[in-house]
This record gives sequence, C-alpha cells and structure tokens, in this order.
Amino acid sequence: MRESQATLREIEAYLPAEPWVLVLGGVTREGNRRARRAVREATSGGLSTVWFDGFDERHEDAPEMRVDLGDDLDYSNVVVVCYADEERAHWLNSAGDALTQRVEKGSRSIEEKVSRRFDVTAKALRRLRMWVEKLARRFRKLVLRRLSHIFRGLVGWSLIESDIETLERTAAPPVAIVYGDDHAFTQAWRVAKIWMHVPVSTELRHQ
Amino acid sequence: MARPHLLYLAFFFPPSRSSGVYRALATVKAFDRAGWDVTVVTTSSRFFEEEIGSVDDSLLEELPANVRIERVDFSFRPPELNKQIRELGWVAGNLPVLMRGLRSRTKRARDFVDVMRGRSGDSYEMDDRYLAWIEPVVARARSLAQSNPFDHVLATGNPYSSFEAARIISAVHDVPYTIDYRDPWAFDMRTGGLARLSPQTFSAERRIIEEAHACVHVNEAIKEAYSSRYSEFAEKQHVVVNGFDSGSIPSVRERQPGDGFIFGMLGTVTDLWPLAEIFEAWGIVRSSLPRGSRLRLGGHLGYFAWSADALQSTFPGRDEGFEYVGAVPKTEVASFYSEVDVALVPLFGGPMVTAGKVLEVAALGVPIVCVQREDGGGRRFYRSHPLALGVGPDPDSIATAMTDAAKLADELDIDRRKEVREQMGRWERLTAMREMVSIVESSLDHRT
Repeated sequence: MRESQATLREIEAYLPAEPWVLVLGGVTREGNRRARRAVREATSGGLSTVWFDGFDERHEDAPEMRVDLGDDLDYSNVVVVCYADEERAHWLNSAGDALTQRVEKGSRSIEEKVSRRFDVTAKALRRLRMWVEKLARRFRKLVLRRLSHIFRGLVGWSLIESDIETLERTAAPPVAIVYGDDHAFTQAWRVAKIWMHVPVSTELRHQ
Repeated sequence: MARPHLLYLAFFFPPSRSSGVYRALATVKAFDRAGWDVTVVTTSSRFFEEEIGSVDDSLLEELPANVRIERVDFSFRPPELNKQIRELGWVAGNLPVLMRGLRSRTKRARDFVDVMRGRSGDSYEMDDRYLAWIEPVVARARSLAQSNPFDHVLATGNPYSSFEAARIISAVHDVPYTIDYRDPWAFDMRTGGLARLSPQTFSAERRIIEEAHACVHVNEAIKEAYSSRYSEFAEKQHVVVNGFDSGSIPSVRERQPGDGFIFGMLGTVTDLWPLAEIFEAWGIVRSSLPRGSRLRLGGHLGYFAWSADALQSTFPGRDEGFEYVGAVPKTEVASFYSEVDVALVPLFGGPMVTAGKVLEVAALGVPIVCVQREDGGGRRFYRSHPLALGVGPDPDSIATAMTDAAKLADELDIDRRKEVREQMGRWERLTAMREMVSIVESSLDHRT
C-alpha cells in the first residue's frame, strides 16, 4: 500500500509528470475524504497528483467511525506526502501534553514542599493538588486547544512550505489545486499566491 | 434644449442572455433614438456568468455607444463565499477557523444590520428573491443623480424588486416612474389565476402601481387582467408588444418544388414546451413528406447551464430526420430562418403567454404552426396572421397542421410572402418600442 508515499523533504526527488494536480488534504476526516475523491478523479482523468496528507486516523477523536483507507486508489501516479506525525509533534500541538506532565510533576513537588513547611492535613494537600490540576486542565482546554485549532493551518503550512517551494522551482504549475478542510485552506491560500492563475477549489470536478 | 435623462433599471441585461434581455435592449435603443440620455442600472457580469450561467457577450455589441451602464453587484451567495481565495486578506487566509468562529458569533448582529440597511430579504415585505438589490440600486441612483439628474425612472421586471427600487428613487428624487412588466407579477401566466403571493406582496404591488406614472404589459390579456384587478388605475395600463428584430429576418428565398421541407423551431427550449407532442407528430407526418425533409431545432437548452442534459435526452435521433443545431447567437438567427419553410412555434400556458419568437416568426412570411392551448396568447395573436395555423398540443392535430402548412409553403409565391412581411412590419421591435417612449414622454408633458 502507498508505495509512492513520501515523507516530508523527500519530495525533492519527485518531479510530477505534467499535467498534475495539487491536493491539500488537511488534517480532518472530512478533508481526507475530499482529498481522496479528488485524487480518484485526477487519476481516472490521467493526471499526476501530489497529495499533502496531514490526516492520521490514530489521532482522530472518534475511532469508532473509522474510514476504510484501503487500497482502492491507484497510487501509481500519485505521490502522498504525509506530515501527520510532524504536525502532531509541533510544539503548539504538543504544548498541552507537556503542560499536563509538568503540572502533574509540579503539583507533587508543591505538595511535598508545603507538607514540609506547613502543618496541613493530607486531605488539604490533595485538595490543593487537585485544584492546581483542574486549573491546568481548564487552561489547556480553553486556551491551548483553541490556539492550536486556530493556528493549525499555519502549522501545516510551515511543514509543507519547503516542499511547495521545491515544486515551484522544479515543476510546471499544477492544473488545479484542491483543498480538503479549513486547515488546508491556509495552505491553499498560500499556494494560490504562488500559482496565480491556477483554479483553487474543494472539488476537482467543478473546475 | 437639454436631452432628457432616463434611468433604466433592468436587472437582466447583456451580457445576460435571459429571455427578457432583448426587450431591455430594444428599450434602450428606442430611447437613445428618441433623443434621450440613457443610464442603465443592471447587475454584474459576474452574477450572470457564475451564478446564472447564461451569457452571450455578442449582445454587448448591440448597445448604443451613448448609453451608460452602471453595474450593481448582487449575489445569492453569502458575501464571504463570493470573494475569490486570492482576494482574501492575511487573517482570513491564514486563520480561516478564527474567521469562521467570528462570523458565526456575530451572525445575529450582522443579520440585524443587514435588515436595517435594506441588504436583506427581510428588509421589505414582498416576495422576491432579489430584494437585497433594492438598497444598493437606490444608493447608486443617488450618486448618479448628483452629477446628472434624471427626468424619469423606468424599471423592468422581473425581478419585481426593480419596481420597488424605482418607487423609492422616484420618491427621493421627485421624478415619475414607469414599470414595464415582462411577465405579470400578480398572476400565474400558466393558469391566468392569481399567483401564490403573500398579502404583503399584493399590497406592495398595489402601492407601486398607485404611485407609478404608467404600467406597461406585453400583451392585451395581461393588460386586461391588471385593469380588472386594479380598476381604479385602469387608465395607467398600456401594452407595448415585444416586437421582432429586423436583423433576425432573412431576405425572401424562393422554394424549389420537390425539395424537402425544413420545419424550424427556434428559442430557448424549456420543459414547458409541448416538445413530446411535436416529436410524435413529426413521426406521423415525416413519411408523407419529400425526401430530405427535416425537423430542425435551435436555441439554448433552458435558461440555466444545468438544465441542458435532461432536455436533450428527450430529443429524437438524426436518423429520424431531426436536427438540433445548438444555441443560435443573435447574429445567426436570420441565417437559421433563411432555410426554414415552415415555422413551428411551441408555447405553453393560456392567454397571458406570448413570446418574442411569436412576432419574429410572424414577420418571416412563411407558414406557421403555433402549438398552444386554444385560448393561448400566441394563438390569439396569430388569428389575424394569413399564414398561421393554430393547434392544441395534440400529436394528431399537430401532424395535420404540419401537412397543411407544407402544402401552403409549396403554393406560396414570393410576392405573397413579401406582402405578408409588409403587413407585419408594424411589429418591428423599435417601431413597437416607440409606444414605450411615448408613454414615458407623456410624463414630461405633465411636468411642464
């Protein structure tokens, strides 16, 4: 499966045969579905495709709604550039996990320090720890997760930017740019400024 | 003496190719010829191209050079979708999630502002999909009037929002206005009964008619219906027929005896046409006609780009003597008619339904088969035409009429055809449109 799958920065070795379509799948299930549709239509129309895929079903919140990502696509004329792991590892996305770990560690150390210096009951100490963790959880949910959601498109762009620059240098402009979701929209907006006359849409067949 | 200035509100105008555009174009030409300065307020080409999908750029070439065109954009889409991706700013481009969140949080406030500014369908108590066009048009008229005040406002509908815009502009600038109904607003053309409109819409129409200088209709049946419904304003109701373009009429061609007959139909084909009955009649009559006879159809398939496939799937094959020649640009209409021996005019509906092609075909000087209900507007018009046969949408009757028309075509000599053409000359579009100019000019007389 996915023999033509590339990782970030491996794209330099790849030169898409003309005419080609640029598919920016985004990071969501819906984006992935749209991207797959576009790739299917492009390949059936004899077009080469470069697909930037940031979706990873392991990281989706609803694993019971798994989508079959099987081998129904013909990958012979498609290169798939996966950036889901890099995207997940970006500091803005991993900041929440780091915060949780730090708070957990920090609250224990606070608990120890307080118990050494002050005469407080074990119950009060547990309450203090729970309170610190609750604050951290809320901060994570209200601030970090929202920031991560808002800036996810920019993060995605920062990851694929150098590959796009490579394609810009080495390949002719694509015949179409397709984007899958709001996060891929940022990439599409950036790419649209590079190839000024290429149609940009969420679906290939309407172009 | 300064030339009078007409502000003409015509939502559908070139490059649109919708059916009402030809009347609008003729109106502009007639006023230009009559010595008026004309400013047309219409909508953007983008709307016709992207949202309606029916454009004929060649129509723009027919516009008189003096006419000023003002395009006021309109869209059925939310404003943010109309922006091309490359036109978006940094925040909208880079942070689409944030923008979407802000839009959804502020939606109620923005809707309220839109209603208050007249940019929403809820701003006016009328049934019309184009209400959001009114306020921008009124604003544009205000700025136009500062540099070149106008003497009369003429609005053509549908959309009937143009009528309300004309009423408001008239009140603000103290100039009279006339409304030109290409179709009846209050009546259903197919049934002749009242249209399904809200009471507020009927009130709005009454208000518009009450304040108008005149109301113009395309045929007597519609005028009669309006005169009857608004009897206190019966004297304001007039008829200005659509007329035909002289450029669409070819020179007279003599038919060679024994040649196959070309039965021609031209127009924007819709599923309302009795096409199935005509195709069945063609199947009946074809074997009795000389070899090489053809049933030829020309025109756009539907008013919208997406309606073509469904219509085309009902057409007979070429081996059945049928030809669909595709869309016929305005400049090629005369060429299409030049080969036609018998003209077919398929129409739907009752007395209120006539069409531009009714008059165009009348001027050809060839036998005509008009397929419509007996009380139909087209058949009523053709009663006085010496070469027209009217039949209902019944295959056997159509087949008989086609046979009779073919015989008549064989018997017609060239002098008789020329004679018929001369008789029909009064329906030439610009000649017919002089009546519109006279109606509007009568308001100038009232003011002096």
